[in-house]
Amino acid sequence: MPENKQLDPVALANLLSVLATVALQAYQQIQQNHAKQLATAQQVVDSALASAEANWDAVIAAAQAELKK
Amino acid sequence: MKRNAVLAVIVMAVILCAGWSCNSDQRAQVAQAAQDASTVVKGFQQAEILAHQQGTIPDDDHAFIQQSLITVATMGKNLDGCIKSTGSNSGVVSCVNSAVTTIDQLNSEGALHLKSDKARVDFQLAMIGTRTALNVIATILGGNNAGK
Repeated sequence: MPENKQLDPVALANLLSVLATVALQAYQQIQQNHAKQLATAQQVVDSALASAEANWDAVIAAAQAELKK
Repeated sequence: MKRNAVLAVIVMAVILCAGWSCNSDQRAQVAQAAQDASTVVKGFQQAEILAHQQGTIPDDDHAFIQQSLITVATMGKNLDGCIKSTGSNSGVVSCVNSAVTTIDQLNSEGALHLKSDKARVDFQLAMIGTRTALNVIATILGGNNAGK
């Protein structure tokens, strides 16, 4: 009966270690990308809401001026 | 034990990669829709003031419209505050639905009080435009008052 071939435990441990390192690096990269995405989206939100605020203030000021005439 | 720990790290990384939810685009779209609503109202106001100066909108109608626009703008500022401060989608949708109710009320009052056809039609169009921009917010966040 032929002997069953088994994976070398040391080679397997090394392979798993490499895979874990790659996975961790990918995870860290995703975290960094997500943080950048959030910062950019926050800028868009802040800018749009600031613009809306300015528009509403202008509408109120102009309406009050018209009503005083 | 060491192998299990390594495998757990790999599984965690895969799950995080696959299941990463990002609603930052959603928030940006909501803020943009809020800006759009304010742009519609401001544009209408400028056109209405010009029409009044040209004599095509009577004084009473003009006063009614400008008073209504103060109400709309105040509501708009409250909605912006809600978008900034509320952590949940349902909270913002609730604010939007409240704003839409205000718009609908003003639209009904406009139909009753405005004498000039031009003022009535222009006001109605402005309210519909504002309502549409607000409904976009609700749709983005998964709640929709559009059927009402």
